[in-house]
Amino acid sequence: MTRVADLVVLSGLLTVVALTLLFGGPAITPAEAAKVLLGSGTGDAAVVVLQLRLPRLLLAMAVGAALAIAGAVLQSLLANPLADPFLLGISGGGAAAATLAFVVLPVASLALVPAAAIGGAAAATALVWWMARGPLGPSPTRMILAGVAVNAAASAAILVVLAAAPSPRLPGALAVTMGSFAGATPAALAWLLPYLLPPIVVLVHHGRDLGLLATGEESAATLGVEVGVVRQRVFLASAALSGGAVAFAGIIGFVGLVTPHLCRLVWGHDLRRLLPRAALAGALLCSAGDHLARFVLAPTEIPVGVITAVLGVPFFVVLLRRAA
Amino acid sequence: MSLLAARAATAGYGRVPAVADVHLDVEAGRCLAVLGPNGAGKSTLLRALAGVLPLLAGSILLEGRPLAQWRRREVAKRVTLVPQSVQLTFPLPVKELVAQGRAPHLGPWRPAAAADHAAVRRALEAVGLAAKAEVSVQQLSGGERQRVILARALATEPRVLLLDEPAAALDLHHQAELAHAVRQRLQTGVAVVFVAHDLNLALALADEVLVLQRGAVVAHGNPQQVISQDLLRRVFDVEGEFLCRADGSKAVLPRLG
Repeated sequence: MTRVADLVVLSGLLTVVALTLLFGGPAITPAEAAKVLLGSGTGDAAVVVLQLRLPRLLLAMAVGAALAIAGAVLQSLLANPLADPFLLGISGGGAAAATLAFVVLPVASLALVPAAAIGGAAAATALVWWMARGPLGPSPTRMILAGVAVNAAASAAILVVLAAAPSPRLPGALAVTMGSFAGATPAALAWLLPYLLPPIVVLVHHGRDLGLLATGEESAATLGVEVGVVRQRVFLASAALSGGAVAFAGIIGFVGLVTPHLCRLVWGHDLRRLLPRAALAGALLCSAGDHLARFVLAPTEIPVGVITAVLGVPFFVVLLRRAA
Repeated sequence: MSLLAARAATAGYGRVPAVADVHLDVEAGRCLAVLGPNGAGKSTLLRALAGVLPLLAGSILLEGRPLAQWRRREVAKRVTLVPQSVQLTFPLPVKELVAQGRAPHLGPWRPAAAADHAAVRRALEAVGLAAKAEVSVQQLSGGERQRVILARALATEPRVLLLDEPAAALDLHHQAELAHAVRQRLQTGVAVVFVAHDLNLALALADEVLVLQRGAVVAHGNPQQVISQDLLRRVFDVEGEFLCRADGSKAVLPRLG
């Protein structure tokens, strides 16, 4: 069963890779695409594949993987199946900080926007946790309510920043609020990877601890987890993943909620097994979602967040009803 | 030297002590029952002994060394707390939840070996849940969940077992099974501390009882002597009758209503 599911996800990813590289604007033959990928292609095909389609595809995959991993670890850390960077306001906090950075930073310092997004995401995480915690750990209900409050505050902050933004900076700031991979460039990818890889290593290292934390903080502590240390690292790592994703692709909701749950159904709850699968499935969801976003109303492109919300909202309702 | 000891230990939530100035020693193969009315600080004391609740004053010594000087994982290999309940966020199979008990021995990366699987199997058999190893924990009854949490602690194979009201949700058969499992561990040199409301469980299992009232120790000693008419009146505000079993030990019958 799990082997078959591994194969399904990998074949799905390969299919999306092929579709994205070959279609969308000028059609490119598989032979041309292969030549370009092997380094011998030239002309328009090389520009389209290497400068446009491949960066966009890789950005979608990296962001999808980051959000899915962040969702999976937050659900375990907070012992809350509804935890997700979007619902907890972590993406919102990152987006508010990134929008502000876009508007106030001088052009030469725009490379600091991702750092600002990660700072905003970390601040939102700390705020939500502070509001939800009690003497024996955080309350799942208070946590969701805290997420609603932080999301509302982040939205208000974004609106204020957009209203005050000088017009040359407006498009860049606006892009953060709408999930899209359209701004992908090879340079953006090179910037994104350092924000994603170290946190993923940290989270995989704490996979077993996170499995124990899903039974509550005190229960995990009795089994040897240094709860305070692990919580701090996982919060920072998931803020880096969510903030990095927001800085390069804007807010994309529900990937962090839906993907881990679907993966748990197939691969179980051991995070050392689950995280690599969630990363691949998140990559598949975002890259396939982006492909759909470009083709559903072609030639108009819709934000990929719309596609993930269409999939995620019904799933959220089912989870809520099951919890009730 | 005691396996686990409390020296003037004071613990609570925030800065408010829930239990104060406790002195006790837990020896290998000995069983201590912590008794007292609701809100007396029994569970707080157990948390402090497990090192999951920081002390406000005093110290807890594990094998003679203050708990604060131990790494959390090293403590968890030796001392396991069985709480009244744990959060069951995801529908884990019973076997996987019980296998979590091996985590202190495995660390972040080492995969479970044959000895770990054997410990999990023994723990499941000890609580009578071997047949439900593959069932989701979310499908279990309250009593079965309590036995799974106990099995998780047994799988750790610690030197000290701290049990918080382990029999609260158990029927008579499983109370007897619990008593049997505890006696078996005591015979292998494991020290047991348990919190209970059932005075007869304390009389049957404990070598020593410690009675708390409003966060203070009000009695400490041999259960046959400490559990008395006077204690029932003074601490629990009830009357009771004492029966003498065939083996000469005492049983208590509180007068209810």
